[in-house]
Amino acid sequence: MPEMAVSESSMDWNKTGSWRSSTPLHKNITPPCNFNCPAGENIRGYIDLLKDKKTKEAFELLTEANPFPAVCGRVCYHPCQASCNRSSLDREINVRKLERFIGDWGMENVNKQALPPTASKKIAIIGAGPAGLSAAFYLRKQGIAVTVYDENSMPGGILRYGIPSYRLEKDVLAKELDRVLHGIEFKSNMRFGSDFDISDLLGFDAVFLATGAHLSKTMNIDGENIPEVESGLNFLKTANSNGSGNLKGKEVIVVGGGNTACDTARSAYRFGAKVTLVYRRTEAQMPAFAEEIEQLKKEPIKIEFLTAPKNIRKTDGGKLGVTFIKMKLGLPDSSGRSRPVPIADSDFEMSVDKIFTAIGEDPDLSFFGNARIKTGGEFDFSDIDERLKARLFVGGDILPNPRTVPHAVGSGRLASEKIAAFLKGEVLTQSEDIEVIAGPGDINFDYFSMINLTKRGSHPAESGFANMDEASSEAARCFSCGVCDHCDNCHNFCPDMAVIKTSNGYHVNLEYCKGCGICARECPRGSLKMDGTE
Amino acid sequence: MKRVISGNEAASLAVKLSRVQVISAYPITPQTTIAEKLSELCGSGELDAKFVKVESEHSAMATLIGASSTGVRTFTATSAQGLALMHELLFWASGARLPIVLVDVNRAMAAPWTIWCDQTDSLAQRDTGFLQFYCWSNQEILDSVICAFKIAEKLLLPCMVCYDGFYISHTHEAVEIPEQSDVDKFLPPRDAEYRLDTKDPRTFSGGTLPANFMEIRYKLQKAFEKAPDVINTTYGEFDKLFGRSYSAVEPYYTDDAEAVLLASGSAASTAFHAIRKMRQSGIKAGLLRLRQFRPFPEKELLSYLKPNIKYGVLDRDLSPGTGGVIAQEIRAILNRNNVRIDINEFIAGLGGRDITVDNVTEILLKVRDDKGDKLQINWVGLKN
Amino acid sequence: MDRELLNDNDFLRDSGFCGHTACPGCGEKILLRHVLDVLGPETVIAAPAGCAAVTDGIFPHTVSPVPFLHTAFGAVASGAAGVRAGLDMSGRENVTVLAWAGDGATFDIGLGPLSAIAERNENIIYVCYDNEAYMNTGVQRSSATPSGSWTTTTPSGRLKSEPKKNIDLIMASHKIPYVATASPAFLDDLKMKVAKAKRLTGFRFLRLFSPCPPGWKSDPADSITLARLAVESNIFPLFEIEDGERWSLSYESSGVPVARYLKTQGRFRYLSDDDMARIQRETDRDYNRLKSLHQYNGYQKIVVEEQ
Repeated sequence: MPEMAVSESSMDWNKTGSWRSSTPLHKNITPPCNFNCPAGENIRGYIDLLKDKKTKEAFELLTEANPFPAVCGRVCYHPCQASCNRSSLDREINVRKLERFIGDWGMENVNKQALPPTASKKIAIIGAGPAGLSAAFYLRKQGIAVTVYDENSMPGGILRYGIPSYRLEKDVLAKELDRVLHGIEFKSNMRFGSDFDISDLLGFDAVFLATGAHLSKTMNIDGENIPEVESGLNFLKTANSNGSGNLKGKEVIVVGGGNTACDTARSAYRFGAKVTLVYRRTEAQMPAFAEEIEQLKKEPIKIEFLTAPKNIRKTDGGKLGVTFIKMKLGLPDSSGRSRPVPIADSDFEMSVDKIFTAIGEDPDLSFFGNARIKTGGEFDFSDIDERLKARLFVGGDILPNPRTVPHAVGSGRLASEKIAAFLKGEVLTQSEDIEVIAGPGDINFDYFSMINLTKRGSHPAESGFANMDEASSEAARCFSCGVCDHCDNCHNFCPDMAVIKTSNGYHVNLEYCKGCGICARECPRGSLKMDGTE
Repeated sequence: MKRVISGNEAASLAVKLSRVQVISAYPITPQTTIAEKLSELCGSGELDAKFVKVESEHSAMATLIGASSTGVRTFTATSAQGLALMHELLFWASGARLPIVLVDVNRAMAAPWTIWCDQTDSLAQRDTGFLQFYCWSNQEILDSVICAFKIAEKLLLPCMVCYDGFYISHTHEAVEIPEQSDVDKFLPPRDAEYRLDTKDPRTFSGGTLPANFMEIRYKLQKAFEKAPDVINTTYGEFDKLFGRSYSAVEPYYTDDAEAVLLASGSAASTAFHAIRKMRQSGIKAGLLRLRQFRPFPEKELLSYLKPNIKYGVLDRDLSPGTGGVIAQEIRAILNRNNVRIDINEFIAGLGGRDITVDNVTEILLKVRDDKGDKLQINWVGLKN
Repeated sequence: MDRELLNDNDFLRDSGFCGHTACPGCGEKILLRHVLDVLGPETVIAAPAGCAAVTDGIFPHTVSPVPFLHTAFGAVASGAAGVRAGLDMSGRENVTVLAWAGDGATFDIGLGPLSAIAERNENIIYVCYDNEAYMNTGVQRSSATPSGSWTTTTPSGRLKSEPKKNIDLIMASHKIPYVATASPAFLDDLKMKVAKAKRLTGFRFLRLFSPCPPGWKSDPADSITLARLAVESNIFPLFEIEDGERWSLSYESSGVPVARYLKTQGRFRYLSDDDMARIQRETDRDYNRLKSLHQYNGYQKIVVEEQ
């Protein structure tokens, strides 16, 4: 001991960690946008990059999950936005515009991405829609040779033939397809079952079937087969292929409440028709995306809810006479929605030029003969050739998923992973961990409420961002829910200097952490929690 | 060079000669002229020191504790109420082992208000861990202050140099002023082993648990036990350079004395003259001058105290309920060493009441003729 | 500790700031590490009795990365002045002297010496970590305790009724170069002010908001949240006063109702809605006054030319 009371060493022997009754744990949880993205995009991740104006890196990250950012930036219904925690504060992040910004950047700046040379493995993909092309893109990136067959003359599937050009400009699609198809063999006008068959596929190591759902459901009423009664999907395909379909001054009925019905009604209106959309339930039950309905309602299209056609007949003047009956909502059906029940003696008549039906679609599996869809959506392929069955993968709108572009993209990418595993003789295993989603309760709004507030309300339908600054300032509004963005709060606010910065995040020094919990309380985004166990 | 100067000026010049670096003081009679003189010396540049003009004596000592902790030489001066206001920090200075030198110009403690001399103020600080020296001349003040720095810095103990207010502080005497170069030879710059140093960051006087506090206090006591040797060595070096020698206790006419008076400060000086006169009248009186109160000079006193001589102790102080402080301390060492000597206790000169040659003569005769009323406290010159 | 790990407080970490005995969630230690981070290793601390003193370490150990002088309770200001004098007299004028004191030592027992060193414009940075009571001794009221607060010496039924002493005005009245308030919830502002104080010479006074979970009967995890609410509710506005006259608000608060701040702390649990309404009115009044002083430009500094 020194002569006087001067210190000789530090207090590091005093392991104050023994005071602790709960323990901070840095653990990223899933942002709701990522969780809700059917395509499986790391939305938070690319928004984070956009904050720093790293558009190239954002593009690369986005296209790790979705090869079609320019397309999806226009046509995706963006469930990410609906689940955005920022809507609890002011207004959700405009992911649509950010995705579109990245996609448009890609169209301008990314032509042909470098690809690895192909090895011996070969894959056939049937269907050049979003599912088939996603699978093709990701397989080709891994050096697997891909041949894509499609019955149409051009690739794109529903993107080209189903979505009207006012929602997706043809040149955008063309540019994006050009990039996606780079290095991939595309065989057009090849309908499976008629232009080629199973024997043509046996030379491939695996086959991905992604032919979509193109069979319109029938209404099962009299007069349904009159030529002026056409499926909406067919109308859209014709309109998108050659721009024909002059409906100037024609009175048109569109039957249905889904996205196809909306697109059909809006397209018909654009071709000059006077359109009435009839739907047998109410607006609340419409299966179309909310934003589609919003857009529909803004157009001069008449909508008749709780109305169904009862029969159709050709009248003398060449017009169609349609008898409708009014409905009311009854008990819920198997879909959970209230079942429409006809109201007795509520019939009324309308005289129109054309009827488009859009009450749902089914996959066309006629090429497999006895193949059929079982209850619950699974396929019964028991009768098809064993040699094909052993290497067959199925995805896209054939599956009973919601039939949306991002679902198809996600389905295609997942198929690419399954196929890649299959080629190695493995089976893709998916994590069975329960994903924890960051909700508003995980957000410390103090860090956001004082700054950068935007007016409440939904985003208007707009085009893209004018410039990088606009995009990055929108990106800067992102909370980065559940994912550490190295804000340093946990490090800075620790009274015990027990949260140490490391080259890849933070390390809690449990020898000294007293468990006060400031770090977790001050984590703006819920990526640090007092776990309570060690 | 000899100059006729006051006691306070002697103290001030000693501070200058000791090359003190930080001074902090607050005005109080009769110390004030030290603060004034030092301000003047700092102002003129004759003394290269920082004089921190504080708002209280508590702050003066606090300032020196801070300054001394950085390793520099420090000084303050005060009296009575000022010293009492420092009381808390006197413990701090010694507990932190800081070689601060303090001049206390002795003054009685109020109430009632008084500015005049007695020694209760400094004696009451006996447990604070300061070395205490008591001077009887201006030369001794100058020499003692210089020696105090050397002793303090060797022992890592604070030092208090005391002398009587007005009787000494404001009395002018011829004083030999040593050359600066000689003082520099005697007193080199302070070399602190531990100081507030950013290159060797340490915490000073931090919280100490029962497991260590006693050892810190034990070291303090050991330093006091080592003090007599250090003090004597210092006096020897001083004597060699300057030709003036000092010791803790100084005996005068004690060899054949029948009655001896123990006294300190200006009272000892009066007693010295009274005894010389008594000797001329054939009365065998003697004087033991107590120069040092802490550490209490036990060994030296025991060497002078003889059972065949009668002793009186003159206390210019009062510890109410007990009596004279010095008498108590002497009784304590006698008892501890199993020496049977009777002590007559005299309280005199409180609050500046003069202690005259007649008073001393009366006291010594009373001691010589003592018939066994030793336990009684004798109040000298008390009015009825 | 793992020396490979990166840290922006290298000199703090290397000295082993860990292991101190402050309570979980202590505001003072958050403040200290960031103030030292700005001031750097060429700093000497003087600290009186108080939480900082008893939690720094146990002899012969310390967490302080810089020399640290303990002083008696009312002695920190003068002690710091002595350290300044000693450093200056030993050729170390470049070393920063940091007095680090709680509100008891600053507002109460040490106010005389504090006023003295301010009046002498000693070249010292004086930080008061204000936790609004004598916390180290177990929560007794000080003159920094806000009205309506429970302490052990202002128990329920006898809550402190007097307003908190306006120490900032007192300090500004000495016309010292710099007076500022800062909060651990606003670290950028805090560090900017410490850096500014470091650039200036003369006496600089910083009052830092120091949440105290045991004394305020608050959740340790809430310390920073409370510090933020205190600023946002204008209970603890952030401002600077230069040369005693030039006031500027550092932060335009969002004006959170004071009740949100008060209700998060057990020490205010005896307050009625009427009491809170009164505190709201008082807070609004004081904040409006502060705003009126903001960027008051009538003061002219008179500079004496060196001869």
